[in-house]
Amino acid sequence: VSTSEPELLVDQDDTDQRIIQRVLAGDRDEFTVLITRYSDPLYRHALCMTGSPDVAEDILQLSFIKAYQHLAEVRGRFDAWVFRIVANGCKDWLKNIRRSHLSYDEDDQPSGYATPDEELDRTELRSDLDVALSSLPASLREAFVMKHVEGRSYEEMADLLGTTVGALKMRVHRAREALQALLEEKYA
Amino acid sequence: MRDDVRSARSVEQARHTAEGERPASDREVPIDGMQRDVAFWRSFEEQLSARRRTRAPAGLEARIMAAIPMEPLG
Repeated sequence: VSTSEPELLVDQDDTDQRIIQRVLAGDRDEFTVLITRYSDPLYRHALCMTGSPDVAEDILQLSFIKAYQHLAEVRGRFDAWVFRIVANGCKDWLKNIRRSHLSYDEDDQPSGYATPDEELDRTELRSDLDVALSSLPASLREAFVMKHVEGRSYEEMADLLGTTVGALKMRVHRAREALQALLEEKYA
Repeated sequence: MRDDVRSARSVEQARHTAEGERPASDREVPIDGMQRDVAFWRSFEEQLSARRRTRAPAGLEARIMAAIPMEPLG
């Protein structure tokens, strides 16, 4: 039976582990399969955490390069391993951008912008969603995004972040409360 | 008459006391406030829903592969 459907380029039955073995054996191009398989969810995570498409793309690029260079160290699931690399990349970026502003304040030099969020606002038109998420501390934002954007279970989140289900439920609850407070402030 | 006033006052006082003792979250929310809440969360949910469908930019995979060292790992 002929069909006009394009041929599937990614064999979903091919396990990550088999692909990793081929890359480690010297087939560099096989790494493309892993990028294709996981770039969408990882990009969504980075975009929600940073609020910037450009920054999200940079974090993904650096994370996959790091993943390639350390591929022999993968133990267990590749998707969980690469997620942690991206999640840490996002948190490092948030820390650095805040530190750069703190150092400006300490040196009493004008940074040009009042806050990191305003710096992002200057360069990109941000959605209400990103403005609201950026008002949350990184740990609350991360938990809220993993639960309500990525649709993960608390058990999976706990496994990925190395914390307890109870702590994550509290973070998501506090994130919702903070968003509600933001709403009240906005419309007061 | 005096009893009526006293009675009305005590009812009013009781209402104020009960209001004061109830936590803020239990108090009545004005209708316009509720509508704003509903509108906000509906809009927020729509944006969350759109974000759930967001895909990585076209060509990202090729840009990542171009940045990865050419030397095979093996």
